[in-house]
Amino acid sequence: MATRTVDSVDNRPAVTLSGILRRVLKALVIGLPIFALILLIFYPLAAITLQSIFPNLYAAKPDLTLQLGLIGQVLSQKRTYIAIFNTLWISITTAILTCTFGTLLAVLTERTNLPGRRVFRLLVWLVFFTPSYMLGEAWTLILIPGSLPDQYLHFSKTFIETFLSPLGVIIVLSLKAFPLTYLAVSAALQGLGSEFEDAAHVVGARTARVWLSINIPLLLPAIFAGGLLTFGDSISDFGTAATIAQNASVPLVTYQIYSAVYSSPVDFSQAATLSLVLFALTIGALFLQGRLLRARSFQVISGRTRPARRVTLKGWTLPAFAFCVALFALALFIPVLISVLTSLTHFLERGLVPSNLTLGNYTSVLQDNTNGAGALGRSFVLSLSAASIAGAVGLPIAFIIRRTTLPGRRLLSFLTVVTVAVPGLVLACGYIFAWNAPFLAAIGIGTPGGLRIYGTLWGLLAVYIASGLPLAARLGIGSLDQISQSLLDTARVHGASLLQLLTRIVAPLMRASLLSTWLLVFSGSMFALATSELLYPAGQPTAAVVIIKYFNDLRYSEGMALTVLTVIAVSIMLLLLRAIPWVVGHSLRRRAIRVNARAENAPIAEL
Amino acid sequence: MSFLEIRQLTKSYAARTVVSGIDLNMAEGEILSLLGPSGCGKTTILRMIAGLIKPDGGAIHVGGRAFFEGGRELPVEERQIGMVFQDFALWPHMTVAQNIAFGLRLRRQAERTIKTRVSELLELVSLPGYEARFPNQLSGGQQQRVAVARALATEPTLVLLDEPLSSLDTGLRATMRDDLVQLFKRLHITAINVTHDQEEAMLMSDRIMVLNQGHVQQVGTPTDLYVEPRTVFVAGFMGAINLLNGALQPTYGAREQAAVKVHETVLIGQAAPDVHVQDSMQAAVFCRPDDVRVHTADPAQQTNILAGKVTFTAFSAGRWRTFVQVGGQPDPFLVYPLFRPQLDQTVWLEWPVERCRVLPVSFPV
Repeated sequence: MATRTVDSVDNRPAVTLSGILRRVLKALVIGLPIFALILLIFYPLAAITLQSIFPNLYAAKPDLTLQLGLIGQVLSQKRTYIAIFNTLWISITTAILTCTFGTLLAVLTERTNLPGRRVFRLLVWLVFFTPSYMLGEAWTLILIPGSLPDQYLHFSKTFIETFLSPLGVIIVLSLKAFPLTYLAVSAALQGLGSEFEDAAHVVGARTARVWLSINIPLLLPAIFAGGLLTFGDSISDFGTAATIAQNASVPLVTYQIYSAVYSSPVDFSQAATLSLVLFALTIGALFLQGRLLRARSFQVISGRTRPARRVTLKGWTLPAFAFCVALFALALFIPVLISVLTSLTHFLERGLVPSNLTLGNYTSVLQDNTNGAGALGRSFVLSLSAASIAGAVGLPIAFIIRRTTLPGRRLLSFLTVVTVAVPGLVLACGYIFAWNAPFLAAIGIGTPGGLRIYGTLWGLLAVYIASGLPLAARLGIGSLDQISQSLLDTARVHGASLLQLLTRIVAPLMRASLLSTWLLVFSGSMFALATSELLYPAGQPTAAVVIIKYFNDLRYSEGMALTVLTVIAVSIMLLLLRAIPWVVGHSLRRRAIRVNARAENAPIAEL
Repeated sequence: MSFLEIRQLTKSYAARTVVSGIDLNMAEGEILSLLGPSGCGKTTILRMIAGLIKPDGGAIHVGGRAFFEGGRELPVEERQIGMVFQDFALWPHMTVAQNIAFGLRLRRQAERTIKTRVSELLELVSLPGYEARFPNQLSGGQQQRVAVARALATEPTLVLLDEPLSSLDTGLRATMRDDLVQLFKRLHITAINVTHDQEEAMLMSDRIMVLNQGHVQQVGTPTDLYVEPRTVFVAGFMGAINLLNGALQPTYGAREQAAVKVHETVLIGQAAPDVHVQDSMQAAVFCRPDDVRVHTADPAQQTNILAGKVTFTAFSAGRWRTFVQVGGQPDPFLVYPLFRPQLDQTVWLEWPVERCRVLPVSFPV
């Protein structure tokens, strides 16, 4: 490992005051992030476990009666195991479907002369950023009787019953999750040079044989890894569970947790047990995925790979193109179209006639300071803060883990790995137990006038940060590993302090990755449904909460108006963040050209 | 007709011509190296012969079959060639036996025949019993041998080697190089080897084609290229040289010799075929460092003597590697004196007439 130390310089005994100060500082540098992760993520997760075995711990009069059998009891309830069973088979089917779609799309865009492949590559990212509740709502609005398409196409009863069912849920989940497999496979394809296939061609294999015998087997680990990612994504998805799955009467674990907490009678035991199950499944999938990628018996990326040759599709061009268009039509164009159209109608059942079209939903939503514009503004400020804090804290954490020898960095690394894929709903559930505990009043938490976390916007901000922080740290590690240690050593040799090193060298080198991390956490928070639903303060809902509320109240048009507004807000940020580096780079280049031109015109003596 | 025949082979990428009008004839059983610096077009030529890159123009015929002619190409998979890749490109998900047998299976040979053939080939490359191993369980040299066995499995008429030794470390490289040549000679295999290492090219090949910027500089046996290079580029690429530029003397008498005047000194050497005695043509004289005689006193000779000062000396491999700066020359000359030179010592360099060679400065393309 090339992790030479940043602090190995001060190995001298600390007898002086500055030596003691140094030690304190060092303890703080490693201690604070660990403390933050424990408070933000670990304590809430532990609270779920505690709740499921000490059912009275978080009661008004807490006691430590151990009830180990409770988990078994909850699991043997029909509504519990049905939800688990549904979630499992639906997610496994989804994973298989996305493996097929994602791999096919990756191969077509990366390795063939498919027309429009650049556009498709871009569209994948749009699907990636689309919130699943939007997709779930849009498809519900297509499939329910009397929907806009139904008014013109007159769906048969069998058609509606076929799709407003587990099948529909699987399709929507797959349409949302295939970018994950796509990204995993296309990354593997980019590392897979043409040498292996050239070698097969030379001994007489034709294109089809080369793909079947050489490329696909070499891609299998990446395909499986992508499948596990989509599996983890699907089991913890709440947006679909709360929309189309509800309309299709398919109970899923995530929705069951939500209703255990929010419908009376409140069933904390069930919420805790299901959260544990969900957490265990996600961790399992993540662990398996990591094992798969590490334990690959063969190194595909040799570093000296030649760029691969594109396959000419010939007669397959049209079917391949049709497949891609259909995929994006279902995952993006049709849902977006339906969302926009719905948001523009007075009454859905009157159809698309001029008299029924209006911008009224937008104006009424924008004038609503609690639910409409207010919710959007709240989401915006919270997401902005969460993304900035997660980015600003995630980078130093990544740095501490990878580039220092501080004791405790392994613990820190472990904490970020374990928590990177905690489903939002599980985390939020943990926050309810952890920060609403009556016993915390003893230390002034939750009391009127004391520190209040649960039921405030601060709690919501905390959970948004908690969802983004491990991701920010892991992504930071990924891009930090690309920076040669000697670049950092050089800065240290020139006398840069740790802070200067981070701000002047590391951050600029990682700016592209920092930007994407920021965007990921920002859009994740803007579209965060599960955490918001469970933790929003009374009277202060966020955009996602209001959207689902409208949806449940059958006020589809207003719901869709707010959805469209949220998407527009995220898109603007996305464009801005992509545009800023471009504008800066562009102006720097122009300045350089001007300076060069001046230098060239100047008399040589002046140079 | 030759076994392999290439006519006016051309390839460009956008505005850049990578290979411009190459001609080549090869006899069956011959080993030829394509030698040149990176970007000279050698790998492109090899990949065009393999069918992995489509030429822009020209023709390739091998064993009486047209690989490429009149814009039509024979698909790679039908060319029946063998190829060893730089990184060996052994399929990591297949065993050694599966790797070697892949081409045989495509030709639907009987499993029994395949089994015998695989063990025969492993025997040939001195890896008997390695059938069940995976590539990642083999050392670099062993992987290389498997790659060779795989290339030979389908009994190709032509074997192409794309810098097959460059991934190996120095010691192993020498062993593998010698083994490979002996194996190919024993099996009477026609092979084309791509390399940027002149020593490897000289030790492996019957003939070498030296390329620079897509043009053939010279084709010949290793000795030809070393002793009688036709251009300054070839002279420099085949080994270290000392070079002097000057004006060709029109009045020099001997037929195979030419005289070049550098400042006030006249140097006489063997004339390369492209040196035509014309008035004041610019020419270069070169002499290999080993051939330069170093004197501590002025040998009182009119021609081929240059006086200079020792600027650097180091003991290496049993002799004194020494730089001598001659007045009026931009760079010092490399020589190996038989005595221990002192810094700043004045020495006289004698460039023996029979060991000097006069080359044209600009290469006639």
